[in-house]
Amino acid sequence: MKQSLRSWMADSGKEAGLRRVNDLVNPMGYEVTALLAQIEESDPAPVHFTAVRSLDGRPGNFSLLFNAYATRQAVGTVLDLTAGSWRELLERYLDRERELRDPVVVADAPVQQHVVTGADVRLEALPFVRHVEHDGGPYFTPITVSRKPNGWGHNLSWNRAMYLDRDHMGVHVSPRQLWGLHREAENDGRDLPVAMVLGHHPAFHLASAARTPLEVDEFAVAGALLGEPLEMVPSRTFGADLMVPAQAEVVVEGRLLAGRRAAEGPFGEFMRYLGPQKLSHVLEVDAVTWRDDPVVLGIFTGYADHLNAHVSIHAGHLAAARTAVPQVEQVAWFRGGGPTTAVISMRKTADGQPMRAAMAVMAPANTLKQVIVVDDDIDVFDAQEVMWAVSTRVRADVDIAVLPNLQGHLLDPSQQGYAGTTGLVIDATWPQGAVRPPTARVPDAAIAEFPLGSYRMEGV
Amino acid sequence: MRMRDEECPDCGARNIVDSGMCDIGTVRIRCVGCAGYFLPSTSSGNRTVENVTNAGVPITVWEPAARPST
Repeated sequence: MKQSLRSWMADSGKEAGLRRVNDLVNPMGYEVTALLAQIEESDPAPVHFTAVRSLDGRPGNFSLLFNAYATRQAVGTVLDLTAGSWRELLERYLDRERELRDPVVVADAPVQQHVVTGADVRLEALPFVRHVEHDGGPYFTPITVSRKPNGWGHNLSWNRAMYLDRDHMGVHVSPRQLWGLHREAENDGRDLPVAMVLGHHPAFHLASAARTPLEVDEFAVAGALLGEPLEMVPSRTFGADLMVPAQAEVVVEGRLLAGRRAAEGPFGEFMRYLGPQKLSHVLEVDAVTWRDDPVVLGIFTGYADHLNAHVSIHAGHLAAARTAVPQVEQVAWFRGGGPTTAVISMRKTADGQPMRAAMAVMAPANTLKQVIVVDDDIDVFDAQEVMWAVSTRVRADVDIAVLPNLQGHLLDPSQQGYAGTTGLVIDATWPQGAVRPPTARVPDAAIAEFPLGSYRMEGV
Repeated sequence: MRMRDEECPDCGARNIVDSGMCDIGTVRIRCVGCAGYFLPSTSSGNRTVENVTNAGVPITVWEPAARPST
């Protein structure tokens, strides 16, 4: 059995480059993220902070793990892949995701070794983190478990959650599945029961970002990525009505309140800007459960850890594009500002395929608003090559399409209103049947015939 | 999401806020510096909480009973 954060640290930590900081740190004083920022500059790696002050300032027994996704190598270990390129990583992800594994109910629940409920709940005992300048307050980046209707199982959502008082947090929810589930309950006058997972195997966290149809149990997606069925137990507050992962490190159980919102934010976001303070959902906490020596898994927001954690969305783009146009080779996104701009390469066999593939990747992801399509001679992971294709194969009057009234992402600072943006498709492929000019380059045979090492060369 | 930059009248901290939240006029900003609450410096007053939050039912804005000491 390998499905826990501690098993990943033990089994894959060395391969992932995991380091430990054993000095006592104060995450509310930027001490954790200051160290992470320097590590990112020098040699990015996962970091386990073993001695951490809680929000109340006391040395606590909750430790913190960040940067589980800081490098491609670390992300690979999450999916049992040693080394490998982004291409291999995406293929591994999709291979895993296809093998859905239903969750299993177990009797043993390490995550419930310690339980506090009701008036005994004190969120101040947890190691909240202040991440970046101007953050609105103490934050976690948990996975929110909720129950889908019609027996469709569980929904997983990756959220930001800000401390408000001893049993309340403000939670930013994007207008997708969790938002819809809460709205349905709210319209009926009901709170939505949820469980926030503050640490599990990093593959479990990735499952929450997968673009999964509503009728698919996302616990089964987690099992697929873990390579074994997810173990689950009834929550302490809601019983079998809301199951929680048995091997999680910490679970916060509560309700997203109906008819209530609170000022929450700002928070450093994946677009590498502050997401502003806004009116967000309110979580009222009923219970906190945790296992011995709990490790809270956090995301280093706005940095490589955060950007690489979008691998599920990235792989989803690839699958969607291939479904629409089998000639699609690869999909990448510009890492500069979150997955807002994707690049698709294809072996085009008909004009119109680029637009078809672009719409396929744009439809399921509200983060994505710009798509560039190139021929398969372009390396989509090389931004310079992509811009070369855009510069030399595009005529703006025929190759650019603007798609108005597209639902966008709340955290996009260019967005107007609640969710309105505009899509853009740039077709940088050669027209079908066009004569492609040869690339200007020295013949390979000449390079082989006249090796540089055979010549005497000196400076002047 | 359009943003506004609001200065806390108590501690002077800079607050990056959704402009829609400020357009309501009665909703207070939570200061990132002192965790106190204050009204935006100006407001068009032309939006409702329900409109800004895209909610289908009446919404009450919740604030903690006391300013946290942390």
